[in-house]
Amino acid sequence: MTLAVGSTVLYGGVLVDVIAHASKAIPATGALGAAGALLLLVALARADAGLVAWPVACLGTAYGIALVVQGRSTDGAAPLVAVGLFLCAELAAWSIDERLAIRAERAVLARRATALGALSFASLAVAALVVVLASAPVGSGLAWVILGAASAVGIVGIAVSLARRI
Amino acid sequence: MTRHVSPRLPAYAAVAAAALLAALVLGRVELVALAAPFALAAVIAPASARHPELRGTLALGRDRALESEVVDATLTLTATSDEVVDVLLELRPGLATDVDNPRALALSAADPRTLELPLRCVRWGAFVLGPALVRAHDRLGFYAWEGRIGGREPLRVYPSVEALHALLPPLETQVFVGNQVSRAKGDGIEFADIRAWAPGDVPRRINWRATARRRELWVNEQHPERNTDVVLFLDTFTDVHAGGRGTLDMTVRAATSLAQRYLQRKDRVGLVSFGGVLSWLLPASGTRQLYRIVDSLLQMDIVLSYAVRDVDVLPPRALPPKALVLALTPLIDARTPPGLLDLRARGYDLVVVEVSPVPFVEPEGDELAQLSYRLWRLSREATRARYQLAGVPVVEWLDGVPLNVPLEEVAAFRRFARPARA
Repeated sequence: MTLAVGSTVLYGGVLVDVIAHASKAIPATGALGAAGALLLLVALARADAGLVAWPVACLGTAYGIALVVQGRSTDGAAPLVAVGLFLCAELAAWSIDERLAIRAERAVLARRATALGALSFASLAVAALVVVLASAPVGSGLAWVILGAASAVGIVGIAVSLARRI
Repeated sequence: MTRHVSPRLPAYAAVAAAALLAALVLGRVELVALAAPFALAAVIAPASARHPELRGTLALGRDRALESEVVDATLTLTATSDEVVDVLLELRPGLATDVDNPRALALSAADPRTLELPLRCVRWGAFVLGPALVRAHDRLGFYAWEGRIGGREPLRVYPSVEALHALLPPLETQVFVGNQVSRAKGDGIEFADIRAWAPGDVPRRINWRATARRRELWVNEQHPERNTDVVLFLDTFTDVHAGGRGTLDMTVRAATSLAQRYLQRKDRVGLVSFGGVLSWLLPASGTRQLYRIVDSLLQMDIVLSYAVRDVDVLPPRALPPKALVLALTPLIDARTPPGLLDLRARGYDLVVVEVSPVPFVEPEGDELAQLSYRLWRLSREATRARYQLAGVPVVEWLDGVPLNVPLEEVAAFRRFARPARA
């Protein structure tokens, strides 16, 4: 229950941040955020781990809309939004796992909490690095676009390979 | 071990890919930052996933126990690397444990973990425990490997034995020495009668008081102590049960108690399971026969069959002459009465203990169901009357009533009624 509440609170926090950043696009971001919240509640209520990524996708889309509406200035809170969404999804998944009637030792819970904390911290560091590097005056050009495209293609490749392994 | 991937992992990869593509299209670096945690998870999880090397053994404290006793099961697990493992020892109905099962453990490399599971033997039966089901997963639960470890351990749980104060004496005894006082006259302890002396009579058998009174030699006669043959005839065509109790359960408990008490008296006990599967044990005596009978009872189950059964298929040695045939039947299947009445017609000393299914049947509330219930009770009365017309004692044994009660009823019946041929 604590994990589910934590997940919902994180979702709500990110949603508030998104809405606060895009006062002009509240209907769109609000609708997407509400849909995501509904999906999150459904996922938690039905203990369906397959639905956990959908609230993230909804709120991520709302965040994208808010960024577009907001204008060209870089959002310094983006790493926190990213980690917040990730933790929201992971806590929801953990909450669903805990519904199984398997009593876990304290060491098992500690290992998962440590792993989640480490991954979140690393994600925060990487996201912050990306934002800082983007803010740095290193110029722009075709090379950066190609690098970005390559990274995107790489991630898509991972997704495809994972989908094949399932 | 079979590997499973959490649906979160491809979803995270898809979220990361979508965010990166959106970042490229929209030219927003924040979306790259948004993709970072999901991309990291999608990359790190497969990269760090490795097939777990798990070993384990399952051992039981003992392989035989009585109902309500506790048997310790020990599961030892070892792993070559740090693992998080869910362990489940599947327990069939009849076995239970008060400790957590399943449970999640954190295993350390080369540090064996021993799990103690005290198993409560709730009900009799022949069980096979193991192998244990294990599921190892990575720390965030993206990958899981499921498999079985440990061997298969048999556990026999014997039914508890009811204390029987008195047993049914057969009408006729066998020729071997035992504890049952025979109706015949011969060498024994129990005084039977006196008769005139005959050549060959030993002097110590002379009844001096009768001799003095009659002025000729008279000797005492005794009843010899002989053994008896008892055949437990179990009707296993049907089982009526409710709430963990049933007619088969009562039948097995009664048969165990009777076999143990008769074998204690040095009698020979045999077993006939008359049902969908016909099986028998030839009468024998001794502790080994008790184990044979109980082991056979543990395997007993209801097998649906429409085949017509007859006692003719039983080998003659399974039903020795002059044996007491003690039938335990719920009086439900129509194939049992002809078989039992056939035995009665052949002169066997037959007793029918009706293991009553009535306490396990709750009639429905509507009128038709009530009528069906009453008709069913009437048909049972009719079946009972068929046995009584043939001179067979039939006693009803209800759940919760000690077995002594129906046995005493049979003894009372026999005090006032004798089979016509006796």
